Amino acid sequence: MDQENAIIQVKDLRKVYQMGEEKVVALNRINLEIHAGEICCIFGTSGSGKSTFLNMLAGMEKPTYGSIRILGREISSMTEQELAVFRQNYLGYIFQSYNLLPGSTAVENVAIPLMFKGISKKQREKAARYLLHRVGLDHRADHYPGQMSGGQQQRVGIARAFVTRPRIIFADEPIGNLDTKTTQEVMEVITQFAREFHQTIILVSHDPEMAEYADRIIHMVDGNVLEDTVRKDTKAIQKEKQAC
Amino acid sequence: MKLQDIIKQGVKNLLRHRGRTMLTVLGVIVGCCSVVIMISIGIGMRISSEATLAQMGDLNKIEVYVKDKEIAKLDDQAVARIRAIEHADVVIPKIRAEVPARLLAGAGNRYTAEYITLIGEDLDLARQEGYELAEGDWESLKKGEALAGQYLAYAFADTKRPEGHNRVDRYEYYDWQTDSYENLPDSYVNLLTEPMTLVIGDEPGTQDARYVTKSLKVGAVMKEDYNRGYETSEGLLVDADVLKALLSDYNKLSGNRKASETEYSEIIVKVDHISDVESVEKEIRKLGFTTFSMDSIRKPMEQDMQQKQMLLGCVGAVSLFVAALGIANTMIMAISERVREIGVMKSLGCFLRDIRKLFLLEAGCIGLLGGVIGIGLSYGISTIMNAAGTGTMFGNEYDYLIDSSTMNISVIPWWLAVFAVLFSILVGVVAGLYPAEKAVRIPALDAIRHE
Repeated sequence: MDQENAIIQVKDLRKVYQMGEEKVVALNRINLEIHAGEICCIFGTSGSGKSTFLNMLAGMEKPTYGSIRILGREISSMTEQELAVFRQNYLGYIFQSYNLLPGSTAVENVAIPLMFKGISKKQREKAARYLLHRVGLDHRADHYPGQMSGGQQQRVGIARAFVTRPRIIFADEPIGNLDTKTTQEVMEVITQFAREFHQTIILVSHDPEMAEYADRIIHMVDGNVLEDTVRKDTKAIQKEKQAC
Repeated sequence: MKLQDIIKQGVKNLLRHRGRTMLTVLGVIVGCCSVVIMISIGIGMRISSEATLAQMGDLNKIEVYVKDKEIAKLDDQAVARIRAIEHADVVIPKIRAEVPARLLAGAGNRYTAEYITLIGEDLDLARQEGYELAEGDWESLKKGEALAGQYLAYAFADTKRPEGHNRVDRYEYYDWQTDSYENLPDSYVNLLTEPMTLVIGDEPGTQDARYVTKSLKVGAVMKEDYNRGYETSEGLLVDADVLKALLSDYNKLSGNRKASETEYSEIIVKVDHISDVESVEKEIRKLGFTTFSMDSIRKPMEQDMQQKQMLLGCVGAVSLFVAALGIANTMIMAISERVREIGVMKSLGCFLRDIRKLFLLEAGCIGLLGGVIGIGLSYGISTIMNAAGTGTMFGNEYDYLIDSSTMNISVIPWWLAVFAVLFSILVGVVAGLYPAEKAVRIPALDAIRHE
């Protein structure tokens, strides 16, 4: 595998939490590389360390030991300021509980990352409306989060993560609160975007069904990678084949 | 983030919690109001006390008298030395005739005015000293002409009439209530048209009478002014050199060798600004003279005023401080409610400085709103207070001297309004500093943790 393709490189990653007297090992020496354009599912039960792993990849937690390089840059040693710029330019984040700002409309919520970058209202709302159109929420653009269903809110959340066209998108249990039908819609939107813009998706889930959408599954147990499989026959690929 | 976006977000956040925002703003309003009202009462007191002093006399005038002739004499040399003092704007030497002076007028000197107050000074300086004219004007005043007191004409008695019926008693026509004369008849003498003779010394015609005379023309009539002296009522102001010559002649005649015509009775010093009165007065005292000015009254009054203002200001400041605590509390509340929101903002790439700005802006907005409403309310309260009360409410020992009904208890100058609004914003921002730092420290991870 060529160096250029490895968008994320994880080396000897360890995370140990101090719980009173006891030390709890959340991650135990993880080594892996994730390549550009991969839809990667970190799969595991609760307590397997998968969420901790994702948080560290997204720069939200500092590792106890080891290094995480994203696009060749060591993320664990970045300052808050550098991290903010890095997030604005390269990272997107989809939350389990949507985390839309309640006082802002759908279009405003989608435009938020662009607002942080200092882009004018006119420009950012144009981009936001396009993405809302893509997730099928044109008619909901000026509604507030409280007026939308869970699935709709999550689609707004997805539009928000994609609005800056980031290289990597992190998704923490993106369908955790959704029913089967909505899950299908949401996952299809995510994978479709990822393929279209050649983006890397890293999602965390405990749901085997969701793993179906990924082309790589990293199975974690007790802070270790148990299994790392690359699949050729994902649901997304099946669908593409059907479409042809 | 663009500033306009930060402002929009801040306002949006405040509006989202309208109730809480308004309660906090109310705290600032009360704080701002109490500071402004307290300061405005202080300013009102100051203005009324200044007015009191102004009615009592010139605030920038120093009167200089001899303390001890052996040490320093009030002569031309002294005048020159006082003129050399910085800020001593106008120096007016005056001679007060100690010898009896009388005026004769009419055919055969039928009318006489006795024991008139006679003062000699440079009439050009008299204008600068502050004498005002009731008749005539300064420009047409000729060299050697005298200035008469407003009611000097009524000091003349008719020698052809019996004692007790030989005068026009102007006080019979005086109305104390309105402080004016009603139907005052003409005097025997018209000061401006009739030639007069000034007599210094004994009464002419008596035994061994020693006196000197000088024919005189009155060029203008002064306006009566109790603060200046009796010369403005029934006195005469003549040129200093004329009076000096007359006194010199009289002294030779009476054999009074000791009396000196080169000395002045007093010197009036006008200082260009009230604040310089103290220093000029000190300099003059160093020369060995006794001085008197309104400063000796003004100073203790001012100190008293400052103490009162300080006290009032403190009372106001306490309430504004409480309001600041309210703002800080509200902001901390807002942060604990918005932990998740802040975490989301961070994980979406919001700069820390923008989060800080956002919170400071929200706190500042509360201050601004409270300040603006507070100052508006203060103007209202001030108007009501001035309409309802009189100036005696806050105990000023000089109150009886002035017409207190025209004085305002509370005065809010424009600068106080501007200051109050700016200060309220400042209080808001300062109160927001700690909460803003707290917000900045919230980790992005909290966006996920707070389920």
